Amino acid sequence: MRKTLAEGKSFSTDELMNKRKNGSEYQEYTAISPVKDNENVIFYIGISQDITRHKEIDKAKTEFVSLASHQLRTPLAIIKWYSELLLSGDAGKMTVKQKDYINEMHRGGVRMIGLVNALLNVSRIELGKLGITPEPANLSAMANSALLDFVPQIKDKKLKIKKLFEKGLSKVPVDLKLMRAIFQNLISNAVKYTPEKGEIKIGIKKENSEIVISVADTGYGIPKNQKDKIFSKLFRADNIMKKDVDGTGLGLYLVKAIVDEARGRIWFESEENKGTTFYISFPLSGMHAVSGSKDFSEEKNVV
Amino acid sequence: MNEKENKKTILVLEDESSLVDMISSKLKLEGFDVVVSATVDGGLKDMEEKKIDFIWLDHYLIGSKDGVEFTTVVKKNDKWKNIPIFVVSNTASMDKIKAYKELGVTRYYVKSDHRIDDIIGDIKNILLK
Ligand SMILES: Nc1ncnc2c1ncn2[C@@H]1O[C@H](COP(=O)(O)OP(=O)(O)O)[C@@H](O)[C@H]1O
Ligand SMILES: [Mg+2]
Repeated sequence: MRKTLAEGKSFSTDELMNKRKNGSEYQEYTAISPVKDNENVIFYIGISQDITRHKEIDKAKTEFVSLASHQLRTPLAIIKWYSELLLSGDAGKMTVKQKDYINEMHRGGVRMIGLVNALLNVSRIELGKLGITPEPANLSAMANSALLDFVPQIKDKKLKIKKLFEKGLSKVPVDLKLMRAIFQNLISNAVKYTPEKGEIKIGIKKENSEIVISVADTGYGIPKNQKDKIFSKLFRADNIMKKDVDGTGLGLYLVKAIVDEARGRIWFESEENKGTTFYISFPLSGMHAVSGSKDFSEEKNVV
Repeated sequence: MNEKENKKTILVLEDESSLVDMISSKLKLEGFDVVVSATVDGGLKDMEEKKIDFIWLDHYLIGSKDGVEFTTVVKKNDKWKNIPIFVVSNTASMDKIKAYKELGVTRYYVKSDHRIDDIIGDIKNILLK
């Protein structure tokens, strides 16, 4: 604290324990800021607040999330696994129609699991509990592996995929799960929001001291007057709502939250009915590490 | 070779009765012998009394003890410490996953994120190779 203040910077912490007049302990938030006249510090302003209650609410929320995750996922796993059991023919042969129906139930279960995972990730991020653990990774290989998940839809829609991966890129330290979630969401959107026979280009390249990832499509685009809402939680644009495409409006919100937390940048260009390109950049040093207590849930099932 | 002698026994520690039924019937269908228990103490008793080749472990179990406590005991026992353990749970908190990894479990699965066939495929890979 003294060092920070000596450098003329502000200091704050929410980890202090203090004692009330009656002797009981409480958790304190303290911020101390220097007030300067040109370069000289004239005096300091300090603010302290009892945040015991804040911390308690925070903890209760986290516990609720973890409880909900267990309580919701267990029955969902039951639905999913039993329908898999039926589909694999373990309980005897089914008619084509029966198989169709069970398939629909399975898909519904899988979607619900994806939604629960997405909601859990949202609350983890909002609670500031998400950890970022970067390790050197080959981004092209990660993009390829994320693409694999979408092969059926890509074939179905006869989409053309172009990979523009710069050769000889060195590994970039990223959190593997989070980076995978980023690729998955951007590719999922490009696949979902591009009509048949469109084209998707995935680029990874070095630009000055940054690594820039781009996912471009020739799809429906984002309406001009809704561009500023695209990263909002649960938001889906009007042109997409008119079409029958599954979604939650949580994907880009999560991607932006991850990128912000990892100190990267995200932006996009889009024109309605022409196409959209999302860009993400990180310094060559990769994602910024954050220690946290919660792991990110895979959302491969949100399509 | 006698097929009976070759049959591997899997201990399934799981508290959710409707999952216990399906996991054990699926494993039996794949040719394994299955022993089930819903508590840590019951599981440890089975470990003593039977020759267990593989452990399928849920984190939350009936009673106050959980899968971490079970794994701690198993890994401390020279007879048991090399038995592969799959933790198949619905809780994915980083500290729990870390605890299991540090104890040396073979793999950690979040139930809802995997197909039952895939998990059983992984078990077969480990046991039958
Ligand atoms: N590649 C894209 N092309 C057109 N619209 C997009 C694209 N990516 C995102 N959007 C718009 O942004 C909205 C939010 O995206 P997202 O958060 O991933 O949610 P979801 O895909 O579940 O709807 C989408 O509903 C869509 O309106
Ligand atoms: Mg999406």
